[in-house]
Amino acid sequence: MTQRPGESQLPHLFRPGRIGKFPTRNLIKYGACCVSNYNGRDGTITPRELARMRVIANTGCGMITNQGAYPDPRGEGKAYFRQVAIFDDKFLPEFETIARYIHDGGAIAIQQILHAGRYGGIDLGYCIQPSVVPQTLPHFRPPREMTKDDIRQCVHEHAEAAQRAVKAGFDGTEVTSFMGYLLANFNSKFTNQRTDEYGGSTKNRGRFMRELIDGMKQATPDNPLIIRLNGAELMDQWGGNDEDECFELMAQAVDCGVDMISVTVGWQEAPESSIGRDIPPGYWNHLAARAKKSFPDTLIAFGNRLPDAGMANDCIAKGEFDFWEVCRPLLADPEMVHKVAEGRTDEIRRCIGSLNCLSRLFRDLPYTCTMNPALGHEVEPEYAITLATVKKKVMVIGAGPAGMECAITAAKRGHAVTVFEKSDRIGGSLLGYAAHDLARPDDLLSVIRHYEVMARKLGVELKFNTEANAKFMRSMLHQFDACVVAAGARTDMSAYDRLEGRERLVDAIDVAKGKVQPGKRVVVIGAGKVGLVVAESLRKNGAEVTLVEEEKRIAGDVMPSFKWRHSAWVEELEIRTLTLSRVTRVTADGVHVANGKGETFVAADTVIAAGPRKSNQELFRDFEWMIDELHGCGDAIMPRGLDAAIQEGYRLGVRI
Amino acid sequence: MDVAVAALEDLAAWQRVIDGYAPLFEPLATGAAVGLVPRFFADAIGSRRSAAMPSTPTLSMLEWRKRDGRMRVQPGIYRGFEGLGVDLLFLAGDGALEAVLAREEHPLGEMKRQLRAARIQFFVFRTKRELRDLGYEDFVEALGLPFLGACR
Repeated sequence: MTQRPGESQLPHLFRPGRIGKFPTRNLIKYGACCVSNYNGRDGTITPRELARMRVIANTGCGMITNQGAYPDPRGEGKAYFRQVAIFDDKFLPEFETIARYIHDGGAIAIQQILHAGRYGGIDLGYCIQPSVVPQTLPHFRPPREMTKDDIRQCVHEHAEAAQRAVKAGFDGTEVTSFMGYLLANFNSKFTNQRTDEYGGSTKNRGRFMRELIDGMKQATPDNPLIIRLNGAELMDQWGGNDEDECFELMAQAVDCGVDMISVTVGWQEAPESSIGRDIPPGYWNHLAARAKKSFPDTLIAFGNRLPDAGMANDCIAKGEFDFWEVCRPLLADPEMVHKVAEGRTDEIRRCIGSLNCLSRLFRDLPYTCTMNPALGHEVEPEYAITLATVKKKVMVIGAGPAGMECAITAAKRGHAVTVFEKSDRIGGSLLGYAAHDLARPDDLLSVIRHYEVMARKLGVELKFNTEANAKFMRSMLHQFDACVVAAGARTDMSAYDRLEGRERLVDAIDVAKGKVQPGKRVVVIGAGKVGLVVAESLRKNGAEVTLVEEEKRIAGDVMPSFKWRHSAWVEELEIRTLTLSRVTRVTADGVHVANGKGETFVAADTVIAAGPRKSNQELFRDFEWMIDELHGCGDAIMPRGLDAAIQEGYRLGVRI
Repeated sequence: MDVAVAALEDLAAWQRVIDGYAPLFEPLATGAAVGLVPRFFADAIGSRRSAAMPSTPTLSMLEWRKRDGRMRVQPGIYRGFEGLGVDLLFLAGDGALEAVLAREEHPLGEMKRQLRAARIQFFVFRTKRELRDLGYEDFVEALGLPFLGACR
């Protein structure tokens, strides 16, 4: 096969590899980082899952790991509401289909076996663990201690599951401890407090793992076995393993003859971030490097918070690991590897680490992706981008994420698209948000860059500094077939009409966009995401900030996976927060605030309104009798956020 | 050993802590209970420091339990996680409970700080739905516990 231009630029990543007797075309492993929740409640694989795996099979990876299946008929290992099962031959046909898809796509196929241990038993009234140690998150089932018979049975079921996977056509299997599953529960001294031969010393705690490896290797002697192990649990503060103990356990796995160690970081319960947007890419690479240095003869795979192919190539070149393990970036853009290989890296839709996927899993919902609206809908032709039967001239009002997503999707279908934007660039309210984001603005700016690139490549015409209104529309009469209003939302200043001194209020959006420079003492009214981002940024830059929120809690409109982050920033930055409080008067010196404790005065030079937002819906009425098709999407329909904007923009783009 | 027990002995001080946050406990259902245990005892039960463990400690846990419309503190004996009879358990490292009591103006704020610093560890014995039904939402929120979210 001819080398594609990007492959020569990243020669280490794209060189052939091997695991056991199986050659791989490159050193990229699709990791089964989390389950999809697309399957039957009884563990059967659904057409929805098969359709998704067909896409994953064609990602261009050298090795593809199918999502974790639980190995026991009781469901003690089942962690997720719609997780796949592999405890019986009745499940084989669908596994065979997936293995075939993966092979047809040119990769070797690995089946992960996932017994969730303390996070399992989701359909039961209990979970099983080496010892009774309750969980630190209120999501799981009360623990029961495993007997030695239970342990033997569990090892047997893993071995049978491995055999079944190979029978279905998979080339190898993987067993995972990530992120705090059964294997990790035995390995960790936090959850393993047994006093028999399975507990106590690191050697004893590793006994279950060694028996598991031995059982699976005996069951499938000709097929590679991969083990996912923590390089750091991040649970050591609570009595878990420290890094050295993690590596002692890895050494035991190596001695048992595993074919590859996939190095991971963190438990679900870990009190610090491991994969979120606040962790810089490459942060955990040292763990992989230590593993490779310690076990030079064992393949090491790694990918935690390493979303960039170029970085992965460099790590492989430096000998820090052998395979780049990547999952979420391929959920965000299943074409990523091909784009890298073809030198089209600028077209990649980056995973922005919003953790929308995981937020949904923990609400027992199928996972979706902020950046990839088609994820989970592969089985539905309505979500596919197909050439439009009737080519139309489409005008999009607003170059925020909703408008741009709609524009590029419609353009891919062959429509002629023009975007009218009142400001001088793409981005909409995301620009202001990114400018003040304390986590990692580049993630958010990557969304904007993607739209800029795709608009250029797809020939989407961009008309900046153009305010769309009735007069403008009259000048456009009969020039377009369809109009999409994606004009976003604004702060609803009318909500403050009855507030004395309202004329002194400054709009949070204007502050976010840099149109207004606040003073040194600031009160922000409203502790939703807009108010929080502005408050945090101003505080970080030295202002004295007070947040006033009418609701009981802050961050009410923030994605669940990021609420904690804002709350932590508010605390760390020592931002004074008055909840269940209402501003009653704004004066030249500050604001009067009323709450259950009475009225208080907060001195301020600037009072920022970041309360309710209002959709810019007026254009719908203005344009109603001026154009054949009139549509809307994103915040212009109802103020929400990036996820809804992208999803709706896409859904509209595929059907215009 | 003495240090571990000392923080538990002043029941009146702990009752003042609870009373100072009465609105947080108002929504709790009768019987709802929280346990506070010095980590020393938990470790000893887990046989890590059994040599230091007295054979029969008379006080190794504080229990805050809602009775007669009020959250009340009572002494207890910690015998391990099983059969504990509380909804939430706080295992406090050396000095953590003393620090909470010492912060007279905002002891729960100190408790939150200790939780964040992992000097107090937190275990749940109920699902999120059960905790909500028992009325724990405000208390859990006040301690910042939802922020210890999964998969970050």
